[in-house]
Amino acid sequence: MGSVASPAAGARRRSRAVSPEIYFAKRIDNSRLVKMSDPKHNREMAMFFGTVVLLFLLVMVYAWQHFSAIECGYRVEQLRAQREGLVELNRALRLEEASLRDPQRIDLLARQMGLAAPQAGQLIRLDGGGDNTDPGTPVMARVSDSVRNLALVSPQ
Amino acid sequence: MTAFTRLRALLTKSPVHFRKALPSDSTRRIYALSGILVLWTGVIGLRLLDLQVLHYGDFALRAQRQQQRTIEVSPRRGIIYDRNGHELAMSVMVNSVFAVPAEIPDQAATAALLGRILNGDSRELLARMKASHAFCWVARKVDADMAARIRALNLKGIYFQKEPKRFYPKRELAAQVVGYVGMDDEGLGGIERQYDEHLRGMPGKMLISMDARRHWFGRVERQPDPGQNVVLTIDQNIQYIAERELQTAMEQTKAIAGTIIVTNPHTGEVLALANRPTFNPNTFNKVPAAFLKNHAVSDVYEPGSTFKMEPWLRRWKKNSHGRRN
Repeated sequence: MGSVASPAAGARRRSRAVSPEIYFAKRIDNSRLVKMSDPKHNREMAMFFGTVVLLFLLVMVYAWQHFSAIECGYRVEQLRAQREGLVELNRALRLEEASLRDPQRIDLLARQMGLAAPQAGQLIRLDGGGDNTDPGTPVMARVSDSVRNLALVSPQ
Repeated sequence: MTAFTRLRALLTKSPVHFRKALPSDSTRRIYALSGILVLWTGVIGLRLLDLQVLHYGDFALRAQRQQQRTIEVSPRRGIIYDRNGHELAMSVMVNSVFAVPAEIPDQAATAALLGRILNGDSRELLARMKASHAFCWVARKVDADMAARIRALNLKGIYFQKEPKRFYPKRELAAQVVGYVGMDDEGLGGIERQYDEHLRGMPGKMLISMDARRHWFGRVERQPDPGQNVVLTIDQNIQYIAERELQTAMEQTKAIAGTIIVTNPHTGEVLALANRPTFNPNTFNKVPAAFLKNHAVSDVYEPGSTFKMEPWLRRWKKNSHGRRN
């Protein structure tokens, strides 16, 4: 003859099949409870938090300066390449200028333009050289010393 | 049932259903997930340990080999000036073309294309590509136009490198005096050869760091010592006049060779030294070797009656000195 199972036994059997959970039928009012503050614990937590923040900042600064240095390296190399390019361009232009100043080329161009070499007596030196003391001899124009001194005193 | 729970039941007079504590499904799930996370973190940590500690040296060495290159920096060859500062010889950087044969997918086609542009033998170029996997010259010191045409082809495995090339902007002017240089900027004649060790300079070294795209982001370098400049006593205008007159005299007399030397009698400076036949030092390898000769300094020539000046001047000087005493 079987016995009547108690409600508690039935509940136990049911609990094996599902997750055991405790339900409080009455609402709990915790408003009267006040958590006690633990200053020591709070201090420790604050120190721990500060340490973690500091460590984080250090890592960030290290990473920032590391990648900034690499970026600066790229920029420096770019500027170096630009400078070297300009220096080379300058040399190439100097070479071109030297080539254009070739006496043979200038002589050829002059003759093509109808110019000819000066004959004897046609060459007059304007820099005051030679033994020519004729007052009618042309001289090179130049600023006299008095005018130059006046310009130095009153630059306006 | 704990004391607290019993107390609550008494206070609230509410039925509390509870059972003996057993691990719930959610707890098991939490444990399983935590276990997976711990395992995952452990695997990552072990891998980090392996990379950063156990094999650190090996990987650092491999990275260094990939990222760093040592390049020898050629020194800039000195400039040759005339007495008035006009450049008679100077170097500028030009492009040289080289190939990395291992990176070229079709060497035959590439060699044929380049041979057509460079007007060279494509078979010889192909043979050079096959002889080396890492590097071979395609053409050295090409002009800007040719470099632009090759660059426009955008061929895989073909790269450019800057090299200094010697230019003589005055062309044939004082060619035998100034001289000429070979492909590696070594002096082969004239002032270029005589003062080669002064003009050459000392090469430098550069240790560069580059990324995967071959962009440089750092370098440590020892600057090369540039070559010294050489200033001649030659006056380019007097030189030109001497050469022009020599050319006229050669045409009139139908001479095989000729030379004019102009010197300052007070100081002995050579103001002009002209030779015919002459050549363009920019293309010295395309003329006969006889044209490269400086007759003024290499030929033996009897002075003849011109030497009579020497004893007469000596006697005059002696007499004038005696008259003074």
